[in-house]
Amino acid sequence: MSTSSSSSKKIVLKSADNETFEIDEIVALESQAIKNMIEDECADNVIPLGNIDSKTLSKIIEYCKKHAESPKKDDNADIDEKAVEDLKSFDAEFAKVDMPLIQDILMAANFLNIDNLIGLMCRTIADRIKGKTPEEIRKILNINKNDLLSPEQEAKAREENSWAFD
Amino acid sequence: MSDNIPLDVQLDIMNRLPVKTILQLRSVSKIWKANIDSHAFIKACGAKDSADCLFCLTFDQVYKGFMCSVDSKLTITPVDTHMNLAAMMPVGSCSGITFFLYGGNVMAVLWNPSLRKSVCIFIPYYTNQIECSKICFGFGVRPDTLDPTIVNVSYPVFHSGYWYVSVFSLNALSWKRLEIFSCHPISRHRDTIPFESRYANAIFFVRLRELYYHFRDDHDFSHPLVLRVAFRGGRCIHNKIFKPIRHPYSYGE
Repeated sequence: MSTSSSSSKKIVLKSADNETFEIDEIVALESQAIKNMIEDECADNVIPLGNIDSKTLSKIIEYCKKHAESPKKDDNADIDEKAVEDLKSFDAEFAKVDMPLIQDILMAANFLNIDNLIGLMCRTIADRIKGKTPEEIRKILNINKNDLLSPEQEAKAREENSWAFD
Repeated sequence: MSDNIPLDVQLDIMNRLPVKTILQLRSVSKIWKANIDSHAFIKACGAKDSADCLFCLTFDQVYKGFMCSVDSKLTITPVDTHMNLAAMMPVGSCSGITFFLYGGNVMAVLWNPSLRKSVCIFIPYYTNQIECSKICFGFGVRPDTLDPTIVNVSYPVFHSGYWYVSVFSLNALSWKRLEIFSCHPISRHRDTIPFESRYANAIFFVRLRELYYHFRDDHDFSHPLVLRVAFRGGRCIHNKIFKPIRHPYSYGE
């Protein structure tokens, strides 16, 4: 896969705080949502992303660039091990950020429909949830107040699975 | 961005957690509880979160049931259970779900030990079935749909006659009869000896409160006829093979 396509088409993304990012089309295609927009020819020169701030967007572009450069699994069966390892360590490094940013990236990835990135962020959150109390998890996931169990229901739920707490 | 994480993404996160953690999290929110308690979750969870077990051994002591699972390295792991295993005979275990028979061949019980949930299923009898028939069961989780499936074969012991084969799907919660097989007469069938279970070349004997196991490299003394029912590409394929049974068998004391 060629990575130095200087003549390739450019796409400009605009964040919520009006910062613009110019990226190769191939990088933007990592996002299924943008891909659909381009295919349907409803993408103008600048794609405004009103709900993603520049900090989150630059992280996402960093991720998409790396993944667009790496050979895809379904392209050829015998892709070299090193590239896979390289991508793995990139992902691990990429996920080492604080919780609010992870959530912002997850929400943005969900909006832009970037499957791999959603998976990576979910895995990261799941790893961090392990061993936390329900209270901490509610905070992490920002659970809606209306969706909480009543104290009685919560006590009952705990009691039913008391064996899982030992 | 400070909105809530969308529900489908929350479920995605949930699916990546081990079962025990998930159960601790039933009290996180109503949606989590409803999801964790749902049928689909119980099913998928069992299939995902289990080490493969070749056998389950059960025994009773002072009215209390004990159960152990044995994996391919012959490691015996006790399974924590509060069930009364006296009346239950384990038939097989697949993807973390164990299949028991209760009260002879009256009822089937599917049990997921990691979630401690069970489902009871009545076993059908056909009115035109001959009386002294023998019934045997097989159990597995279909890899394509994660659907726990029971196969029930009833056949005459002494005379030639019809085989009745029916398949239960937990997804559909119903039995389905395989029509094709009802017109295949069978002359003789050799039964497995009680208290003996076999897997490939190894033969296991389970006796009163103690466990002996033997190995035999040759297994020429008995080649039971096996009806194998397989699922491929959503279709049910069955055939008769003359090989030792290749799935876990076990007997309770």
